[in-house]
Amino acid sequence: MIVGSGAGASVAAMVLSHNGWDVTIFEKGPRLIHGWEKSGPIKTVFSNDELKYNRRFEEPDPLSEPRAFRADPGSATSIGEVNPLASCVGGGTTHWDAKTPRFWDIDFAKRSMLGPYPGADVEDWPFTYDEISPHYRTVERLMGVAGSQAALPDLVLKHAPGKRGFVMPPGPMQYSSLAVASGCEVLGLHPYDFPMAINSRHHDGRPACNNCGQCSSYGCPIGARIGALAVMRHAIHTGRVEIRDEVMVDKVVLKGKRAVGVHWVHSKGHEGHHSADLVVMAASAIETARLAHLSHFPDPHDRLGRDLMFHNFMDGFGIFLDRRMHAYRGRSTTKCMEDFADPDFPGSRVFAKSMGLPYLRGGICEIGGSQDVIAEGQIYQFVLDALGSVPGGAVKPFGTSFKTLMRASLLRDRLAGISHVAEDLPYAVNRVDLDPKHRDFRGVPIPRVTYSPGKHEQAAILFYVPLMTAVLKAAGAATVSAAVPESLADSLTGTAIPHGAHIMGGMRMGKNPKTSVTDATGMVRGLDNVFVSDGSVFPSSGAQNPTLTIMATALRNATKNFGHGHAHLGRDHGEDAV
Amino acid sequence: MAEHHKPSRRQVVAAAGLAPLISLAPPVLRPGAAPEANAAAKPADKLRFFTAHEAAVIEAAAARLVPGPDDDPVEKLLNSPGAREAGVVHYIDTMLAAFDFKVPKIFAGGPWSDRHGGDGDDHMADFVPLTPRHKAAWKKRLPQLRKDFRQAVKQLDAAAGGSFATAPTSKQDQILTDLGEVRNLIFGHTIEGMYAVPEYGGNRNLAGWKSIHWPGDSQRRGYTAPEVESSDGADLVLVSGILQALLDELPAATAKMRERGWSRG
Repeated sequence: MIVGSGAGASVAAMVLSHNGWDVTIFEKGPRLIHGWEKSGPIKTVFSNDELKYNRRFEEPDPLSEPRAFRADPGSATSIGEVNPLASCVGGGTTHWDAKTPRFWDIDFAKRSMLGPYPGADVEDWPFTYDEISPHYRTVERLMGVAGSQAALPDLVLKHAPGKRGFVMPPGPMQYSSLAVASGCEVLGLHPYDFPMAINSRHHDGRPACNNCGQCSSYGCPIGARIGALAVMRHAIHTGRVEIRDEVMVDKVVLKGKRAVGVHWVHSKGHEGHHSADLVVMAASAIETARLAHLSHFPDPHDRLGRDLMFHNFMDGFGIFLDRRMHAYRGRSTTKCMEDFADPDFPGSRVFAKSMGLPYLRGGICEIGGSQDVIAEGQIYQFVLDALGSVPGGAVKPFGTSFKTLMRASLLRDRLAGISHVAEDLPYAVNRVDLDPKHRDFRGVPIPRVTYSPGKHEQAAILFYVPLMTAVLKAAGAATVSAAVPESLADSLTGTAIPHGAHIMGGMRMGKNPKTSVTDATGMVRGLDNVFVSDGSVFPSSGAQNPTLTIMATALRNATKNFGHGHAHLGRDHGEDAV
Repeated sequence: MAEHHKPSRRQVVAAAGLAPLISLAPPVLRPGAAPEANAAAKPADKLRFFTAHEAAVIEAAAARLVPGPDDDPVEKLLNSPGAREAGVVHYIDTMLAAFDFKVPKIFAGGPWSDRHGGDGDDHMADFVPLTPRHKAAWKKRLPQLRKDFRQAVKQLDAAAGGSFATAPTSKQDQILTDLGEVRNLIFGHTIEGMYAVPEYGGNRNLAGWKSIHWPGDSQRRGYTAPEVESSDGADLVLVSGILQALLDELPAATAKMRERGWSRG
């Protein structure tokens, strides 16, 4: 049986079912997309509706499923929303923006290629880029990635070589992405067409994207983007896979070193046991570590839930006073740029040395995009509130001031952004465990996240934030720009809770039993038959969007453990021509 | 969840009141612009939660926060609809009474409305039944919000020394300036009622979207490749007054955007 139905689960289900296993999938959320099991049009209630997203249609609601957060073990704990992911059949890939960059060679061999990092748990992965590369290609083909091999910059091909499994060309580029990409080029940086698993033409029985524009964080209304469900479909086709939605697994039942099954709770309250010969955990990093704690997994070296990583997000905002950027049209952020992921980026070695650090690393930049209308209005409300509360200030914090802001739309229609997805090093103190007091609406103890950025992350912010501002300045003469790291956002607004939706670590895989929770193929150490198939096994966070690597890692590990019966799927039949 | 934290304070430029948005380029007919609103008269509105008096107070407050032609001379000049025209009070009333409907009006349906083609049916009007997790959450959230709104009306009336709804607008403005918490409660929901899809009860005749020249939901049509890739042409904005004040507060504003997860669309 498999816990979860997202990116990692889809790959595990495909491999297991094609190697003779009967698979039951337990998904704690609902089914929001129907008909994806067959080739043909999908049915869904996802739509172009910002309020629905703001009300967390596909996500846990912090009033019924909160998480606990503290910056460090000595700080106060807050209860609320902590880095939630979509929780429904298909997981986060129902509303992701489907970006599929690969990690680099140095991500898999950080310790041996870049050396040790004082204070951080930097280790090599149990396999190299060369080993995972063919699995990347299979997943790219299975999900249907649109991209351009010819557009990949030399720097990217140097660190992530090989032919991609792009099965169709990129779709239209957002105007806002093109504008900011021009700023990158002025500075000698190398933007390129962001590979993404969104149909640019009819493919896999699903239509081409029609550029509706409400894309990232929205479920796709037409099925041009269905993420991991495109892989899960291959599992369903075996006739050996059943998905039970609205059922949460709250315990893996152990008998000695063997998992004999799970205990589950339905959202409506009834509960039961399910026997299994194999338990696969793929509920995403925080939830998988939560389940491991709830199940009292062996943890002789106190590693369970540790080395939790998010990405070291920094955001840049360019405001164009001479034109509108209309980022409400098209796929979100259609260009990316990986120059900042290079530890040898000009100046970065010297800067790191001046901070007493061996090196520092940013990551991939998502180029373009903006925010939505209700979000924009509520930001102006926040700013007006601040202005209006200045003693002696002359601003009425509402009324025509507000409408003037909305009409000018400096923070939406005239805005083009950069999201910098920078590497977050693993630190043992950053972790998931269980909150001692609070429970969710089912009665299950909630996870507690302890997290602060380290010295590396703070140094990377100091180095890269001015560069992001420079890119935006270079993108247009009549431009005002600002860049802000997540940690500064925290200090200004009084919270320290990460929101980035990239969650990794906690069930770290590795060759060394003293520093890893899972072995070199993702099997839980000290147990015979529990396999982990999500981002929790990552020993480091990489400097790119993680989903493709979650799936390729799952494919590599599941193939090693369960066989090659699926090897005919996702093969290149010679049509990779882009 | 920390909605009321303040950004770093700074002295604000004086006279930031009536900053005009001056578009130096001629108005462009944007491709994919919102279609003409259907001219149907306002339906007879049944209040489900608010009393008539409470509704009058909330409507009056919302119209000060997001004014329309009858509420503000600048808006009259621009003929720009506001909260009154968008029926914001009915959006709020519908939300607070969500559980009075057979399918609670929390999540509008999909995959599209009937505004841009599709199959002729407005699927957004068929609300999605709540899953247990959302039912549990909204059964907590709504009672608190109902209490908060009822209390807000009482505070507004008390400050007005009678009915807030019939107080002079200058007095209403002063009260809304002074009562920050009440203002923010009503303002945040007024913004939702202005710009959310109209199926939630506000944004009537697409008044909210028209006031910002935004087309709103776009399925089934979407946008063509040239509409995605090309500029709509020059559109200069003169930065002064409130717009300059916003740029002066940009670090705080962008920090808040980061905290809220700005990058979508």
